[in-house]
Amino acid sequence: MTLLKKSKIRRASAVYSEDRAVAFDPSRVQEAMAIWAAGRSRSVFAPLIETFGLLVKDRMAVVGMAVIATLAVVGILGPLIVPLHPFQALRAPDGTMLRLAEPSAAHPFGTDYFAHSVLSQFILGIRIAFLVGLSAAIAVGLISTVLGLVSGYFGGYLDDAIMRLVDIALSIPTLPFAIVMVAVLGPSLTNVLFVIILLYWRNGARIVRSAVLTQKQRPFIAAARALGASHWRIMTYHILPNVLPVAFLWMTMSIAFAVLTEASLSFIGLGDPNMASWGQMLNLAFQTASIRSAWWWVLPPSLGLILLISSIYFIGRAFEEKTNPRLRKRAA
Amino acid sequence: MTTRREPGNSLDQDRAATPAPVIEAKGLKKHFPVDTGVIAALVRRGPPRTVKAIDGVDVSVSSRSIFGLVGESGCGKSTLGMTLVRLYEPTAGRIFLSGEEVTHIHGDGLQQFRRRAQIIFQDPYGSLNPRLTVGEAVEEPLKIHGIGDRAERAVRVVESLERVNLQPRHFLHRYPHELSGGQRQRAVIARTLVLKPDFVVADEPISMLDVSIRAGILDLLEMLSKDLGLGVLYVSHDISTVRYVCDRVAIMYLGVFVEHGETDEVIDYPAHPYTQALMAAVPIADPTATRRRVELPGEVPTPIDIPSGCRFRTRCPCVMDICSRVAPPWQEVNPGHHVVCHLYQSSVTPTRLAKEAR
Repeated sequence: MTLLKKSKIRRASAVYSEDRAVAFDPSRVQEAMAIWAAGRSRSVFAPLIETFGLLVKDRMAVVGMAVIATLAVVGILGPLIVPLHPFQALRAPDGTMLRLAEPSAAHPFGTDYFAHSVLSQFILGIRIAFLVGLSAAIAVGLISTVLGLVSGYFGGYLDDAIMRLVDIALSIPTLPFAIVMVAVLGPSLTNVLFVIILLYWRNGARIVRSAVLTQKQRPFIAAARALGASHWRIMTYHILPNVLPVAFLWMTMSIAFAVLTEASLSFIGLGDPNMASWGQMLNLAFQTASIRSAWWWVLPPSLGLILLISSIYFIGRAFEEKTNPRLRKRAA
Repeated sequence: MTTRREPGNSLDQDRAATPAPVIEAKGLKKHFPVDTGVIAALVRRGPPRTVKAIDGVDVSVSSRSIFGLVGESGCGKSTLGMTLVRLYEPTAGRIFLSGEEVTHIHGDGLQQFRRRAQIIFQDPYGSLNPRLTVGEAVEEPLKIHGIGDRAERAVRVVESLERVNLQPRHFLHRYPHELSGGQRQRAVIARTLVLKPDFVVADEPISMLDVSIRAGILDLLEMLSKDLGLGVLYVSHDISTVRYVCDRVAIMYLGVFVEHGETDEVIDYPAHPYTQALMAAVPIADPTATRRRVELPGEVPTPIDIPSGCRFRTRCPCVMDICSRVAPPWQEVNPGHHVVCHLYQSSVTPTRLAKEAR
């Protein structure tokens, strides 16, 4: 038999049966299909359910998930349940501006220096924190997974090029860079997001690459190559599913970094002035010198940030334990 | 494991049939560069150094036969196996599959080659993707090569599993971590066979398995080779298993063959001092038997700086003056039994006879 030319490859199936003495036996189709069908049907969500099952075993992760779920529900319902527009100036019965009013039945979280409802701002701040955190994490996760996968899998000059780029990116100091960039681009939510993504893809790319490098050395990758699998197939089918937990862990961490960075930028006055983000609230409290006196203005955004970030870390830690068996204390 | 083969049983028949070699390599070399990179290139003086993992090997494996490849760790036997299935690019020499040159094919040609030449790795625990069921793993090669529709693939996978004695009903939907080592290696073999290859490299397929199940895997290999007409290159450092399944055997040392021939002939009458030392190290299952110990001094030299003349001279118990000056040529000591050693050249006075070691 001679090796087949390109035009014949499409007919591989026919050639296969002609060439080989052992052709496939059509009479067994029904039986074989039955055996195939008899398997445990595994939904595409199985890994998610599995992961969730492991997370609920960790008490801190349950607390974290509960906090995040609560915040998410309040955030989603936000526009429906906020009592007042966040920038509506409130007046006392005598007609004066209701500045820095302490919490009362009418205004449970009090009012700020500009006579705005703190509760409304806090609830709408949840939306901004989630928006920033999730979109930054998705973008960062996507960029770092693709770059890390390509860099680690192909190696060589491509790897060198990407990794030197990461080195350069890693040498940029986080906050000064963010301040300068936002100052130059102008303070808006999209610019803040852009800067956050620019800052956090770098670590992710390196982390995913290191995971790819270990996966690449496993014998089933060489076996797949020997079977004729394409680079694309090996990357997406054999390596990617095995590095996804690592990428996902980094995405979780990115949510926390992104929320913190947005809050930091807002606090120093580089946030979007049209949005009531938590950082922005703290910034105004600081600027109006009320940060020591108006505790009802300062506490909600601070506690919100602490709760959200630590909840993310609790979940991330539990998830890391799942993906890194050496950290797993109890037997599964 | 003891030998099962009656003396002289297959030698004559095999020679009479003499099937065409399914895979053949001539003057095959694989050198790996040692210090790569820009800085190494700037700092280095002289030509770049290389590890000469395979340094000129002629090998041919017939269909329906198992060819044994024996040597110490690091002698290049796994590299040879991986080069023959084109997982490494050969540095020099030529490879033929069924007479067709495949040394440098690429693209679609290589894809066709991959369907016909397969490899089984040593580690059955790592050779299967932990996220694929046995069925998915065995089906994958068919998908890669676009063979059959859903129904045909289902049948082929089931048949392949049956062939390696894994009940499809029980194993198709299992994950690798639910299988024992032997079952995994069977699954790997099923994945290999589903493409109906002509040539398979079995790279120490049983060295990580329990002793109790090794024979089963070896019997399976032999059965498949005979039934499916496979040519198998069986790489091992365990001479007893080589004797159990192999028709022919080659002894490898530092990137080259030093001796090859029919298995029984080579094992019973080892000619090369290195082979003699290897054989002397094999335990004999007889407490009354006395045997001569041949100890090899020192370590295998680095394959970066290979000794001049005969490669084995630095450790050879019978080293002579000529050994460091002249590389010994191939000699036929018995019909079909070849060796590279100056001891067997008529112009050289042998210091020891071949059979003495046994």
